[in-house]
Amino acid sequence: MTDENIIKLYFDRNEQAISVTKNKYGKYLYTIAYNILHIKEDCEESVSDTYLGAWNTMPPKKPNVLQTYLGKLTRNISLKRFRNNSTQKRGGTQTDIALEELSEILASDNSVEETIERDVLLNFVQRFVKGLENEQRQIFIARYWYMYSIKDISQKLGYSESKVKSALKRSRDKLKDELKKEGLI
Amino acid sequence: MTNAEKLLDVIGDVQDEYIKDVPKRISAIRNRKIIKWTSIAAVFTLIIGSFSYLLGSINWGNAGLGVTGQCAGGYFYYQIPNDGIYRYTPKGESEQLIKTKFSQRYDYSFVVNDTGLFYSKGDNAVYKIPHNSDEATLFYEAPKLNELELSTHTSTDIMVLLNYYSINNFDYCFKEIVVDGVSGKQNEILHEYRDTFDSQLYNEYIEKGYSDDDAYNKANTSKEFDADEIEYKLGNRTLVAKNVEDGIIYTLEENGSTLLKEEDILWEQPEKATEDYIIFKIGESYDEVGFCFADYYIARANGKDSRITSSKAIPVQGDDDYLYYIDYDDNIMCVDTRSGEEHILMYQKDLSYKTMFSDGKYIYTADYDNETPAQCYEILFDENLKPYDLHLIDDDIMK
Repeated sequence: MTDENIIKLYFDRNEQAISVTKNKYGKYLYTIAYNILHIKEDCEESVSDTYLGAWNTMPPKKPNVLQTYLGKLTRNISLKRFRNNSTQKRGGTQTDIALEELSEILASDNSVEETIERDVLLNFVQRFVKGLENEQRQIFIARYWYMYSIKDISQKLGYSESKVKSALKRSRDKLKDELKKEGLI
Repeated sequence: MTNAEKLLDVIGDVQDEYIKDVPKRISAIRNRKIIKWTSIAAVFTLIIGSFSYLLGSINWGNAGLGVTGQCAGGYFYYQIPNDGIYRYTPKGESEQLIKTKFSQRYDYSFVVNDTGLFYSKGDNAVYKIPHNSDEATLFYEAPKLNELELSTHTSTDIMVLLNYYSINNFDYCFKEIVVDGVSGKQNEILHEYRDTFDSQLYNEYIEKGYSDDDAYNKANTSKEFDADEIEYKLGNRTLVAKNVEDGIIYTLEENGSTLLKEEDILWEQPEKATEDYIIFKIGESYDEVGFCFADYYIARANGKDSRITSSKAIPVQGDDDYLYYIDYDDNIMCVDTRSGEEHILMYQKDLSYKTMFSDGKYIYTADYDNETPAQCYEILFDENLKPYDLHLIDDDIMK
């Protein structure tokens, strides 16, 4: 079923919308959740919450790209769950590692202006990502959006591990430099 | 929320097309592996001779192109990896001009312009085949070197990139030179970088107790040359790529005035050049990561220059009034350069993963990853000579 017809099911308040979404995007959403949470039960709950979130927000929201709209819901829900879980236990998950990598860019909690608006940071990040070369951007998104490990990125995207590591290091260095130039750190 | 968590949170809201790219790439890689391993399995069922012969004879990309093609002289030229270079005539068929030998390590480097096809196996020789011929002649020969690549320069001249390095790989020279596309005569040198290593001096410093790195730096001399200005003739216009910083940062000028925005950086090597237009890449910055691509700048002989943003494929010029590009939503877009108005010519699923070529009469779509055949479309024009549709005339130009 096309995305347009699936969205129409949501707008018609037809409960088939959930099962159709699950059939088409369930695996994709589970992958996103798993890369963040790594615990089956938590992943299943995040994905279920995604379907609920989709049901509650469509209408009025009418996403241009349903896949990424759902993906973003799952990612946000999973990250929130991850933050709640991490107060209880620490682990070497990919999310932990990704946060550690991003922490190198932002040295301490005091280095980002407290009053900086999310929109300003988002606008900056969108411009930064747009300015990356295709391959570098794919690797950056695979790491910090999808939370794939270096090894997974290498195998799935068809690049050597050294290329992936090198591309990520350069992206982070560039991100840090541009944050400084913009006066955001 | 920590700062890192804030950043991770905000990254979640990047543009949709970039998020979609990753699963698309994953799918393309997975399918390519399936095609490759299927081919190997089929081959191993045969009674075979030499294993290396079999590897050389397998065409990994028999469905598509894998290497970018080019339009010139009314034809479409393309290369199939491990197979050879072909010339396709619209509404006709493909003709193999050059066959890749199984003993060759690399495919050909080739470029086409208004005068014909130029190709090289990467050794020191460049050959030329004029458009209406299939006879190849030796066109240019460089002094003994290790690697040679060809690139676009103007509608008639070609750019030759030469790499020399000695057996011990310490002496190194890199040159970019312009060769006249008609006479084969070497014209200007655009860039040259040369490292010369004195092994005797190196040994002396080692004996004095210097570290390996320090001794190498003492024994190695580097020379660098970057052309301050590179001229491009376009009709009656003379455009100049002007070096403003260390051979890295260039800007584009005409009659002493810049054609670009203040923050623009020109990639001085054109993407495509005909007698009617030249397409340049424009970057936002150039740092240790490299050239950060932003837009394409299309300079035209008639003076009606334009810019294209957010295009995955190099925009192609139709006639003076229209150009085409593939957008992120899998559409082939047509832009009226007089008004800036755009309209969709064609939608095709996953088109944004393809590259596109055109000579203003036909459009060719080709796959980066050899998954689907290359196709040829005729551009249809209405009574006002405005493109309104594409008509598929060949769904597999390789057949």
